Amino acid sequence: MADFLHMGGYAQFVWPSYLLTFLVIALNIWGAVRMHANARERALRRLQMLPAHEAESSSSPSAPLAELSKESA
Amino acid sequence: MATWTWFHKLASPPHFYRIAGTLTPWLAIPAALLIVGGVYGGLVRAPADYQQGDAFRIVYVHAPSAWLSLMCYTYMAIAAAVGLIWRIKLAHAVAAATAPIGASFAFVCLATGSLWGKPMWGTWWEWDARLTSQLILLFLYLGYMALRNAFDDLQRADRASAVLAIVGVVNVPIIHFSVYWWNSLHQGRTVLKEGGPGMPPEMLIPLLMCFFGFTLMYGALLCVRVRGEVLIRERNAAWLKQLGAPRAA
Repeated sequence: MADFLHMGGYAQFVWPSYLLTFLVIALNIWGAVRMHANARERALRRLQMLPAHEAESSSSPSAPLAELSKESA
Repeated sequence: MATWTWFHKLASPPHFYRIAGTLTPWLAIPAALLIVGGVYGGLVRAPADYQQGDAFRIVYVHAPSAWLSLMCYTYMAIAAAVGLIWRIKLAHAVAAATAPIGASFAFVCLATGSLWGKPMWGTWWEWDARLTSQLILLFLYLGYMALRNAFDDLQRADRASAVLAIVGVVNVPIIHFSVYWWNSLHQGRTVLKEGGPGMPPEMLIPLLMCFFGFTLMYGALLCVRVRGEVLIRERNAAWLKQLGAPRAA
C-alpha cells in the first residue's frame, strides 16, 4: 500500500493529477445539474406568472405545476 | 423522407427534452463504470513504464481529457455551423452546452500535462507547438463563453459566438498534427499509430476504457446541460405547460 501511494517517487505528480481530474468531473456534474435545475425553476416561475387560463393545460391547472415544483425542490 | 421526419422529430425541443432526460442515466452509469475501471486498471493493474516509471500513469487522465477537449470543440463548431446555416435553435443549444465541458477538460489536459512534464522534461511549461496550441484552445473556449455572456439577447449571442466557434476550429487539426509538423517535446501518437498501439494490453485496455468513459460522460453532461438550454430558449413555448405532468425528469 505504501509502495502504491509512493508511485515510484512520482507521488507528488501522479496524485494531484488524479485529484484535479476528479474534482473537475465533480464540478462538471454539479454545474450541469444546477444549470438545468435553475432553468427549470425559472420556467416554472414564469408559468406561474402567466394568467391562469393560459397556464391551464386541462382539468386541473395546478397539478402539473405542483409536481414540477416538488421535483425541483 | 423517413429520415427527415425522424430528424425533425428529434430536433423538436419537447421531444429532445424528453429523450435527453431518458438517455442521461444510460450514458452516465456506463461512463462512471468505465472511468472507475480504467483508473483502477491504470493505477493498479498496469505495469510501470520502462522509461517513465509510474509517472506515465498520468496518461489515464491526461490523454482522455485532451481527447475530450478536442472532440468537444469539434462538436461545438459543427453544432454552431448547423445552427447558423439552418437556423436550428437546438443546435445552438448543443454548442452552448458543450463549451463549459470542453473548456474544463482543456484545463485538465494542460494542468495534468504540466504535472507530467515537470518530472519527465524538467519543466512545468514549454512554449512548444503542442502545448501552445492547446493553450489557445482553452482561450478559444473562454472567448466563446465570454462572447456569449456579452449579449443580453440569446439569438444574437448564439449567432455571434457561432462565428467564433467556426473560425476557431482551424486550431483543432493544428493541435492534432503539431507533434509532426514541428519539433515538439511532446511525444507522438501512441494508440492510433501505424503498426498498432505502442503499448501492451494491460496498459492499453485501461486507457481505452478511460477514453470511452470520458466520451460517454460528455454525452451525459451534454444531455443535462442541453435540457437547461432548451428550457431557457423555449420559455414561451406551449409544451412547457406539460413539463411537470407525466414524468418531467
